[in-house]
This record gives sequence, structure tokens and C-alpha cells, in this order.
Amino acid sequence: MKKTIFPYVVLAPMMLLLFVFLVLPILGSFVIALFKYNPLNETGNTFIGFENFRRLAADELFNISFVNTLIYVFIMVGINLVITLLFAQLLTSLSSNKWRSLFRVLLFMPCVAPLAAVSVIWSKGIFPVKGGLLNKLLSYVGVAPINWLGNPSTLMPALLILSLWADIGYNIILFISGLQSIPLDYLDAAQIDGAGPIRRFFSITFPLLGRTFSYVTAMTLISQFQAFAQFAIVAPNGGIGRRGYVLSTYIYDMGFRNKDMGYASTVSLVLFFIILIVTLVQQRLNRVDWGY
Amino acid sequence: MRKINRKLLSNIIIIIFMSLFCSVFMLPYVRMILDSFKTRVEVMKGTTMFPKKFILDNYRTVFQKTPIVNWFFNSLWTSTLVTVVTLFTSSLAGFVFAKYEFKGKQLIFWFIMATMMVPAQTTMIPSFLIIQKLGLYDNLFAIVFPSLVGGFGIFLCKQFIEDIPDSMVEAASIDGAGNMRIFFMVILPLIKPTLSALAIFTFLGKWNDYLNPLLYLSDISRMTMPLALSFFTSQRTSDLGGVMAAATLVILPVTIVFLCFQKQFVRGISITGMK
Amino acid sequence: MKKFLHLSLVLILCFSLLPVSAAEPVTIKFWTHINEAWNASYEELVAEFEQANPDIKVDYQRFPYGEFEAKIQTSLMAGNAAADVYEVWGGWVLDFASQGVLSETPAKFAAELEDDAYAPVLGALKHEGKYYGAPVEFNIEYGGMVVNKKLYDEAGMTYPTTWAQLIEDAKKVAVKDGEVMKMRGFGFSTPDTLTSNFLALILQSGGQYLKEDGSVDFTIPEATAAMKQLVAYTADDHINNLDTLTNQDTQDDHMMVALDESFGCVRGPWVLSDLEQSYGLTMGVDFEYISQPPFFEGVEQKFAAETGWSLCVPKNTAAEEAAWRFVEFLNQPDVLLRHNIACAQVPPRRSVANDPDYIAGAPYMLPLLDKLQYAQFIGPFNTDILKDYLKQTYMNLVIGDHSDEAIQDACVKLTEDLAQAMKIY
Repeated sequence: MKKTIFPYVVLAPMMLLLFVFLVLPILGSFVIALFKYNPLNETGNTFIGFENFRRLAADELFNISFVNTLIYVFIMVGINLVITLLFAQLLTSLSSNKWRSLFRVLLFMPCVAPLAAVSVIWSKGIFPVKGGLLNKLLSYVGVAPINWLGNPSTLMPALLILSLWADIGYNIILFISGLQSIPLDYLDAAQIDGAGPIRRFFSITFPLLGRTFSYVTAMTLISQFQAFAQFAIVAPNGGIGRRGYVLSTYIYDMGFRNKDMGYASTVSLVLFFIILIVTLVQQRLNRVDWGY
Repeated sequence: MRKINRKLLSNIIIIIFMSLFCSVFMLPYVRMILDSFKTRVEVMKGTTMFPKKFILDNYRTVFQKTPIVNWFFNSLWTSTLVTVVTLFTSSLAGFVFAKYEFKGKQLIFWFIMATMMVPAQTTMIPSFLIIQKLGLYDNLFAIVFPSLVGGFGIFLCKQFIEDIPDSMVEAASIDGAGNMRIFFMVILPLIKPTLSALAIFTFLGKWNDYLNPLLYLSDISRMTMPLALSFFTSQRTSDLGGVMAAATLVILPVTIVFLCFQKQFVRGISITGMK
Repeated sequence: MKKFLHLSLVLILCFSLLPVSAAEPVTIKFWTHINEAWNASYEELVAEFEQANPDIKVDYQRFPYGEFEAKIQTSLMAGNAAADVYEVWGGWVLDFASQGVLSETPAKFAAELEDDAYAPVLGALKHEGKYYGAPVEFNIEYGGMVVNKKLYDEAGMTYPTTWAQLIEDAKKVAVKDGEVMKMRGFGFSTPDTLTSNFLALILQSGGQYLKEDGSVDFTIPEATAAMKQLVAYTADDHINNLDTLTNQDTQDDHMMVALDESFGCVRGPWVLSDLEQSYGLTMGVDFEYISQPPFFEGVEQKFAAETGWSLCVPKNTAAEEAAWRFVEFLNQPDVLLRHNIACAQVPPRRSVANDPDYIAGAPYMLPLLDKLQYAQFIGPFNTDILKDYLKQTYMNLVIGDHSDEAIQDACVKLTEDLAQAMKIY
């Protein structure tokens, strides 16, 4: 718009707040990565430079959690976007506000519950081989009981199911918001022109949803890279075969169990860069220039 | 005639599908609430869905063993304060990023985004040291200040404000409106649904945060509600009945807030039109 | 005038002879984790202490276990907002002591403890020859078994008195159907008990896993043999499965006993009150606590134990003297005896464990008491890491290749990984 100092006036106090409470700790934690850090002993920290970083390459557990994190995030986000967009579209196309509200509330409820309590319920009541809900449901369609948490190959799928359950509500709401701001005129015009619902979706709705989609994707990526509670509770220390070990739980173990805050910060730095790069790439790919 | 039937048919199909899906989907959530009405023994055994007998013992335990009423008020005022301020800062910052050009805009924006990309585990201790150095230890503002500005909200508002035609903003400024006036009179009304979503997410996020209060506040009575869940899990044993009762109580206020804001999720004012 | 002077002189003299008005009572903050029975006993003792020491007031606060360690750590950093007496888990004391933030145990008290306390309870409190706390309990996860009386009675079986008998019985009664474990013969796989049984088996076989420098070596033949034996019980004999390790926070061995899905398991005595409170069972009717037989006949039942909950005083506190007075009070044998009974803890001090009043107050502890003398300190390191790596190694062997070669390789890798990951104090 016009060249004014308004943006600076507005942003300055915000940046100050961000800087003091968010940026400084982040910088602090990165500096810690260069030390053999001991939070209780302010004078006994030895500078070890990049030794922490060299450790990463040979660290088996780091590599395992790195790969697990990537697997988890990309599958989770992929499925998440498809399901939430689909449901949002289905709900938006409902004529009845009442039904739409009802389903929206129901789908969002799992998001409201603290993830810690939810993880306990899943770990105790849903995943167990014998009395767990999942296996009970599967038995109705003739599938033999699966040892979700006791089998290296089913551990990550179990975590994916739990995570999706606890998360899709958010994106459904955001997508509905986005869908509802698309003018009906466009869709009506297309319908008059003879376009079917699927064609209408891909040619008109989806492109116009660009900004929302871009936002939802970015935020889901950023938050899922840092997913923690369900992994800590359902797959403590990574679970069987360490298949449930992700970077966030590895960082926690290193920092609070091994008391090696310096190394934990190093791994955090890696995670930070991964998130940054993935988000930058995603934003580039999703670049939305058009308005109405 | 046929068009109406097709619409009705698709509505019915969607409703049936969603109903089936939601009934299965809600099971774990319902289980959590039902568990809170079972005896501790029944919950630990974990074999039943519905309580043999609905009892309130777990709730009594929660009220007796934890200062949950104190915590409720602590949670209420911190979450509300943070939400209100965040709505303001996010929409204002979003407006600035969406509708203004200025030097360093991209950099500052990514700077803000980057603050969301570092896991809490690592910033926990440096954050603590900063809070302490600022003399905020054991002060309820310690858990409020850090949350007043957030990339999540700024990014969200930016996206939705970008969808508002520039022409509208220009027209208003030609009419003589100053920056803040445009913000209040033009922008805010148009992003009501977005603000509702943001309000709920911010409130929810703040409400469920128990770790920051636990670390930054000293006295147990100053903590926030979700801490009640940890109260029932000891080193080797848990009172899962208590955990579920605590969880249900923690969920209640947020659910009410959500239901209130639900009404705001109406189809936004159509913004194609400049007639 | 003179009369007035006389009077004032007398009054001044009187006032100077009066005892100095009692100084403001010192307040010490006492933090523990949440455990109902323990907290109730602490409350009582705090009241007693305050009565006996009117110049000290104790502000007692408790916090949920889950975040307690982080809470202690951050509060120590807050300077004078910290507490004056902390209840600290043994393993953490090592970390804190090495960082120089704890106050040394007063010499006389330390000498008394060295004399009277069992070795494992002091192990983690010792750093570079000095002690930095006082034990509250003897943490033990070996030597006692919880058995399901009903199942035994129904099967017409008597409790095993030898290890061979135990395993034979277990194999007989265990029922496994595909992925589902319908009945367990004997449970020993929780991170705690897997570790304690593994180490005990090594020790009773005549081996020593703990090296001079404090590091662990599982490449010794006794270790690989022990691993092989324990893996075989689960992988080949199917007397239990890995559920209690994979679902470790929501499925414990004693829970299986409570649900009538297991004949018995080895576990510390804390399970007894949990079985009563969480599962509504009654000792003597539904379950009993019996002695776990040694792995071999006629052998000293050696085992390794880690240091349990202890009381520590931070260095930078103004009320150090008062704090230690409180700690010493709690540690007096007669006070400790009452506390240990109320909390269902095994006493850390011989004088208490051998006291007939203790056995009278906690008769169910009998299976454990005569074994305490054979315990060694597990080692000067963070036991959480040991338990985690051991658990992972064990699980991988059970579900995968567990030939002799694989076991040998696994033990070598375990030793190497631990050497890298575990800091030896």
C-alpha cells in the first residue's frame, strides 16, 4: 500500500515481546548447543564447539528418530489434508446448518481434550490386543487381533491413527472457514454451465482455497514435526524397535533423562532447520498471487 | 425437479456417512467421559464401556485432592486475557503484512514464523532463566506475556485478510480513513469467522498448557487446571478414574466456549462485490 | 528523681535478664512428590517435628511425580525461591550432586548412615567420597513375588519354593493364542524387574557386571547366559509376553495378576497397596506376597538395587542448619520405623529392618528382609538409561533372532551403547 511507518509502529512492540520471550530462549538454546551444558552450574560449562554436531552423524538413535519423524510427518500431513478437505467440503455442501454444526462439533471434540489424557485412553483402552477397541472393531469385519504396540511394523500406524483422530478437527474447521468465504456465485455459475460436483471442486473451489490450503499445510507441518505427547505416552523411549522414536521425544530424553542439554539443543537445531526448509519449500510451491 | 432431488439425495448420503463415521469417531472420547463415572477399580480393569453404576466418587476425589476451583479461575483469566490480546495482535499484524509494503517485510514475517519451529523442550530452560532474570518467577504474568503474540494467529489473519480486495481498502482510505480506522471499520468485520477460529484455538491452546505454569509458578495453588491430570499419576501407580474425571472437568469450559463461538461460523459476507 | 532512677535501673536490669524474646521461627520449605500414604505420614512427622522444634516451621508442598524432576531442576535455578528440603529420587541425586548444588550431609550423620544403612541406599548419594543426602527407603524390585491365590487354589497348585519349580509351573499354566496372551505363568518384564532379574541372575551365576571404574560389562559369559535364559522364557517357553514392556505405562505385571490373567509376578512391595486400592483386592484372599526363590539352589541370593527416594538439602539455602535438623529427625530409627511402616517401604537402615516392631508393623515384608544383606548398589550412573537400553535389547531379541550368536552380538552392542550413553559418576 502506501509508504508509511504504520507497519513499523504496529510491529515494533510485538517484535519486542517476541524477541524477549521467544527469540532469546531460542538463541540461548542454540548457543547451549556449543557447550557441554549444565543448567545448574553457571561456571562449569566447557566450550566444545561443534563436537555435538559431529556426534549426530554417528548417533544411531538420532538417525532412527530422524527417519521416523520424516515418515510420520509426511504420511500424517498427507492423509490429514485429504481427509479434512474432503470432510470440510462434504459439510459445506450440506444445506442444513444444523447438521453441519452438529458434525463440526463432534469432529472437533477430540481436539479439545488434553492430548495426555487422550493418549492414556488409547494406550489402555484402544490399542491393547485383547480388550482394545480397535481390535474389537476389526473383529466385526473379520480381522484377527493385531498387536498394535507390540509389533514394530504396526507401532507407527497406531500412532498415526491416534494423531489423526486427535487433530483433524482443527483443519476441518479451518477449511470450512475457507470454503465458506468462496462466493456462491462462482459455484452457481459453474453448475449452470453443467459442471458436476467433482469438476466444480477441482476447477473452482480448490484453486480459490489456495491461501487457506497454504496456511493449513504449513501449520500442520510445523506442528506435527513437534508432536510430542502421544509419542511420549504411547511409545515411551520409542517403543518396540524404537519405531515410535521421533525427534521431539529424543530431544526430551537427551535433555531431561540424560541431562545433556547441550546435545538436546543440537538435535533441536536440526529439527528447526528441517521445519524451516520444509515450510519454505511448501510456501514456495503453494504461492498464491491471485485475488478475486 | 430432478435437481432438487439430487441435492436432497446427496444431503442424505452425506448425513448418513458422517453419522456413521462420527459414531465410531467419538467412541474414545465418549469412553473417556464414561470412565470418569466408573469406580477406580472398574476403570483400571478397563473391560467395560458403560459404567456398571454411575458414581461421582472420582469427581469428589478431584475436588478433594486438588485445588481445582482455584486452578479453574487461574486458567480462566489467563486464557481469556491471552485470547483477547492475541486476537488483537494477530489481526493487526496480519493486516499489516497483508496490505502494506515495507522494507524487511519478508524477513520479519519469516522471523515470526521461525519462532514456531523450535520445540518447547529445548527452550524450556532458557525461557525459565529469562523469566527469572526479569523477576517474573512466581508471577502469573510469567505465563501470560510470552503468549500475547504468536505466529499462528498472525499467519492465519494474514492469509484471510489477503483475500479482501485491495480496492476496498483503497476506497476507504480515499474516503479519508486512517490506518486504524480502516482496520476497525473495514477489515475486522470481514474476518469474523477467522477470528472465531483463532479465538477458539488460542483459548484451547492456552487452556491446555500446564507445563509453563508448573515451572514458572511456585505455589501449587497458582497452577492451571490441566495439572489436575498429573495429580493422579504417581511414580508407579495411577488413579485412572481420577485422571478421567479431571480430564472431563478440564474439557468442559473449553467446550462451552467453542459452542458459543460456533454461531460465528456463518458464511462470511460475500466479498466479491463492489456494486 | 533518685527514686525514679532506681526504679528504671531495676526495670532495665529485669529486662536484660529476661530471656531474649524467641527469634522469628525459621521456615523451611519441604517438597515431595505426590503419594497419598507417604504424604499423610510426612504430614504427621512434620507436625511432630514442629512440636519438638518450636523455632522451625515446615511449609510442606507436594507435586505430581511426572514433572517433579523438572520442577526440582528449575526451582534450584531460581535461587532463593527454591525449597530447603527436597525428596529426590536416587538416580537424580547423582546428577545434582555432581553439579555441585547440594549440601553435604553433616559428618556425624554421614558416619552414622555409613554404619547402619545398606549399601544400595547410599550408592547414589555418594559423590567423590562425600554424601549429599539421606535415604528414606530401600528401593527393591527383586526377591518378592505377588501370586494370585485364587488361580493357584483353583489349579490345586502350591507356591513354588525353587526357581526350577517356578518355571515348570509357569510353563504348565501359560496359555498363548496367536497374539493374545490369555494366561501368564510368571511375569518379570517391566523395565524395573527385567533389569533387576537380569542383574541378579548374573550375580548369582557368579559373575560381576559392574567394573571397577563403575561402568557395566555385559559381554561376560554370565551375562550372555542370563540374557539367553530370560529371552527363552518369553520367546520359547511363552510364560509371558512383551505387553508389559510395550504398553509399559498402562499394563503392568501386577495388573495382569489382578485381572486373573497371570499366576504371579516379581515386583516390589508397593504393589500390595496398589492391588488393594486400584483393583479392590484383598491380601490373603485374592493374592499373597511370597519369597522369590534364588535362581540356583544353595546360592546367596545376590541382587542389585538402585538408590530410592532420599532427602536432600540444596547448597544455596539460608536455612541449611534447620533443614538438616529436619532430615536427621526423619532419619532417626524410631521415627523412620513408623514412617517406613506407614508408607509400606523397606527400611534403608539395618537397625530398623531388624527391629521386631518393624516386622510386627509390616509382616508382609518378611519375604524380603533377610535378602537385604545380599544387595549391591546397582552402579554410579543414571539407571533410566540402563533400563531403557536393556529393555530394547531384550525386546528385539524376543521378537527376532535369538540364537546364541545373536544374543552374544546383542550383549556386546548393549555394552558398547551403554558405554557411550551412560555417564559414570
